[in-house]
Amino acid sequence: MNISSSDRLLLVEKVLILKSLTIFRDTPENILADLAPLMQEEEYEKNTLLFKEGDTGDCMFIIRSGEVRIHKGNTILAVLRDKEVFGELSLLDAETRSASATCQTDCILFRIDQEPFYELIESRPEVARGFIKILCQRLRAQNERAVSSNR
Amino acid sequence: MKPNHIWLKIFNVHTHEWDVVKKLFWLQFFQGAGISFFFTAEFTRFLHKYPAEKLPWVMVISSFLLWGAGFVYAKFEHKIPFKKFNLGLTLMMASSILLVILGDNYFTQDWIYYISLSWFYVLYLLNNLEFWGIAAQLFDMRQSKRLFGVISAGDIPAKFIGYTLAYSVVKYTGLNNLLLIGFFCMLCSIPFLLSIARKEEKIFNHDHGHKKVYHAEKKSIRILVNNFFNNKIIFRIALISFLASACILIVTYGFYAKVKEAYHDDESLASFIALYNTGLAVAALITKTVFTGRLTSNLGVRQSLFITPIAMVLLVFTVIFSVSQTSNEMTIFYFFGGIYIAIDVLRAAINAPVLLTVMQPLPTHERLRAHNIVKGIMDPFATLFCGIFLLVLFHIQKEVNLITLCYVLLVLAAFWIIGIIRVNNVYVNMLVKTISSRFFSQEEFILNDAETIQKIKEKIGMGTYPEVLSILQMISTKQNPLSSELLTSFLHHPSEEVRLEAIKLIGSKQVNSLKEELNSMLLEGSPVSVKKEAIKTICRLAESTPVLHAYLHNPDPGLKQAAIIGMLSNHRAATKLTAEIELQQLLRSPIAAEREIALTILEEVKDEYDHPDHELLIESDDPVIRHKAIIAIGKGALDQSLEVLLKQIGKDDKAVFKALQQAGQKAIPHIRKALSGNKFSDTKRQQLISSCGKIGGTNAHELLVHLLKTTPAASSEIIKALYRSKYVAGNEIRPFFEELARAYLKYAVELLHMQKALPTDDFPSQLIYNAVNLELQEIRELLLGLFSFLYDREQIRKVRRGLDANQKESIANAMEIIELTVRKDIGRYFNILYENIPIDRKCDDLKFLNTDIHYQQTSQVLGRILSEQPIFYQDWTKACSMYISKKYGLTVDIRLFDKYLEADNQILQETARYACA
Repeated sequence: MNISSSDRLLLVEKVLILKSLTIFRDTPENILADLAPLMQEEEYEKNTLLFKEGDTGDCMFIIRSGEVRIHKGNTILAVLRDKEVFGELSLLDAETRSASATCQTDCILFRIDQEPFYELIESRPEVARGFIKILCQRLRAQNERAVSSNR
Repeated sequence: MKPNHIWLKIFNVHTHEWDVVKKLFWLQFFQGAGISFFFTAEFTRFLHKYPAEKLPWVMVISSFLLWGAGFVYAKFEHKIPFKKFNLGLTLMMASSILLVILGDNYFTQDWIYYISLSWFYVLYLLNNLEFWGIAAQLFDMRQSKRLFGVISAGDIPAKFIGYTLAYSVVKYTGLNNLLLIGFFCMLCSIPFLLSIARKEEKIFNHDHGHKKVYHAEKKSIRILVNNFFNNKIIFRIALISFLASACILIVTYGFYAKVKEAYHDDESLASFIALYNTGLAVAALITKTVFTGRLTSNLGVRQSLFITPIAMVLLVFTVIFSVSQTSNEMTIFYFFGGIYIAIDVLRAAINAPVLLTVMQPLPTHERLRAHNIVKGIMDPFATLFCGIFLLVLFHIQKEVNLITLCYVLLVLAAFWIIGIIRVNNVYVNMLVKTISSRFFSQEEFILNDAETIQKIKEKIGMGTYPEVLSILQMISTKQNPLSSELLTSFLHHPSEEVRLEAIKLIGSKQVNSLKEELNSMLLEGSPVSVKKEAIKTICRLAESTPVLHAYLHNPDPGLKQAAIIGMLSNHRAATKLTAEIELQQLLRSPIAAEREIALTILEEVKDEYDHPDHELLIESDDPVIRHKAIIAIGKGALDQSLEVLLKQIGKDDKAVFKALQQAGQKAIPHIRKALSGNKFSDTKRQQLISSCGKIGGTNAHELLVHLLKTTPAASSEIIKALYRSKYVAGNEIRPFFEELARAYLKYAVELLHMQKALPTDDFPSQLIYNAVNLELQEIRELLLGLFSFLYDREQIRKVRRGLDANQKESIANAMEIIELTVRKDIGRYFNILYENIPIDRKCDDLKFLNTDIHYQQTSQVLGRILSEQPIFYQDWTKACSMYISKKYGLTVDIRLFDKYLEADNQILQETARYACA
């Protein structure tokens, strides 16, 4: 995919970014088009703490460029790169973060906040339906993994 | 044969199915040829040695052999993986032919003749079980309808070649060598079986999937029998199969009895049998390959089942009629020969494949069981029945009388037709059940007998709060009249929530007998919430106003508020007026807190009452008061309140649209007025239409239908709103909706052609392809909406669920429901549009619906989309088109972007600006 090189992305391009993410792979573009305006582009310097373990989650992040370290204290759990997503469950509930997230390099992230997302799903229930579908698929996959590991 | 070859069209096979269809055809061809050689050899040997009257004994013996074979098949089918099982079965059939050759050479006693010929029926059964078992696993319902005719036709050319060869070579080879050829033919089928197994590895390597459901152990026969009697459709299909088999057995017997009288040596007999069967095979081949698929697709499964018995009845009548006209034995014999050919051809070419198609909507494991029951139990039973019947008949008549057999056939045909009608009656239900098997209907309760009331009282005393609350809810909806005794028990429940609900119920159901009980609750030191609810209900039920003054002038504003609420719901005008005066003072009060109390009161009674001064607060400059006033709109709203409510669109949209829905029918004339002007933007208009759909009712329907006729740009939103409001089209409007459905089909065909014109290998085309695909899905939704107005809404809901489940089987079943529910000239094209077949094929099949389409380049497609032809596209599609044209330099008339520069939708407006820059 050839995304515009200008600083500010068009909403169409944001939709294409969303579509390229695993969690939105099966969500139709016309629904993502409603979600795209909620994506706020933010730049962070290396070593910026995005959130720490125990914080109340109220947004999700999509990495446009750079690397983000997910860690518990000094233990690194994962290093996420371009087109990866974290904190997505915080879009739906306000549970505390289970780990901290810090920029490993300079990063450009897209942030989607919970409140406007709630407003969107109120006016466009199909967005909620798409999101619920994704969560159901994940839950099913997790159940299947649990069943096969029990075997 | 190359894909897209004319043969594919003649045989109605799709390109991606061709490989497996071809292999199945050859598999059946070689096995069919082997069985034909076996039949010719053994039948000739038998008829040469014994008179035809002995044939019923073969039927009796073969019935037991068939049951045994069916039992063994069922036992091992579920224990051995699919691939090994079918391979083993084929090898077993081949080796059994070898054993018969050996047996024929070493034994000369009578039993070997009987057993050998009976073994033909076993081979025929096993071949059938194997072949249809594989086919049923490979294809879904809709594929079956098209393909079963073609793939099962494989045994017909096999029979043709088998019988022709037998006819030509029997003079030189002798009968035993025919068996040897049969053995080699059977072996030749194995490479095709293995090839299919390799291609369809997933299906062939499974252990039948349903192993946990059905065990062919000790319980298997019981389960099989239970299934047989408990499952209506299986039972009825099995009966039809039984009758069809019985008819063909009787016709065969009568015919060969006369053949035997005419031919005396084994070679001339074999030649006749072979030649006759060759003719049969040719007729069956043509019928099966060319007509079966088309007949079932055009006539539908249910009608196609009637073809064979009705044809048989007509032919039998011809024989009976000819008897009355001529006494020539040979004429009757030839006519009977005609029946034999027709029934055999129709049974093989139409009846058997269609019966299998009828079974396809059953879940896989039930389908295989049904198949086992039909082939493994009913066919042998038919053989036994006919064997015994024919022996008894011969014993009585001392001859083979064709006219008697004709009358027997008529009786059987009558039962056969009745059986088909009964199958048809349960067929649609089966389709629906397959899709919605997770639903069950609620039980009905009887709650007024003393014993039940006592049980409920006990439960109220011991149950937890949620349990008691659900009992209360159940009683409020199911018990009539309400038991005061039970309500008193609820009023004394320790839970505050239960008491509150019980008081509300007393008020809403006007249970005057419990007023004293409520009064005593006020003195008992109940919680404030309970007291307020009790005052509301007392004031609501009161028969005189003065007794309420104490409540109305209570220094506690909460209790006063409760009194006004109750009095406003009182049926007595004087009581209501007193409360209205109090409310007016609050509404016009200069103190904000008092105005808020007034709005709280209005909100509580909004479905029964509204005050003329409410409008003042809806228009208030204070956003808090305004919002509160808006949400206090309900079914009781006055016209002036609704009029000012619509003026608030743009200020507090969420609350306004919710209030419109809450106002229900009363809001419709105001929505109509709002939509008739140009005051609102497209987005707001869409929201008003959607609110109209949520309100529903005759007036909303009338308005929406009127809008559908006058504002095509909003068709999509209007159809969705009508669907949401459970609209059912009356007779006078049906042609309009059918025409609309046809128009959408036509538009969809154009969209398909757009997709076809887009190159598949570049990103921009892929993007626009996906956008057009979303438009096709949108049209699918609209068509289903239109179908639900015109036809059985519940069935269409199942269709939507089936299509949304996006599983091969569920889609096939959904499309079958469409075929049965929707008008043929609409449903058929809908199915082609949304079936999983190559786009070229769809365009080809539907080209006549829209002949004026010539897309060659992506830019043509973009231009068409941006000029909003032939439909009003979604914003995403238009934004995508502008983005692609600008980004990838595809030439589109730039004037087409202009109208989107001021669009409501953010993405559309932004992309238009980008494209124009």
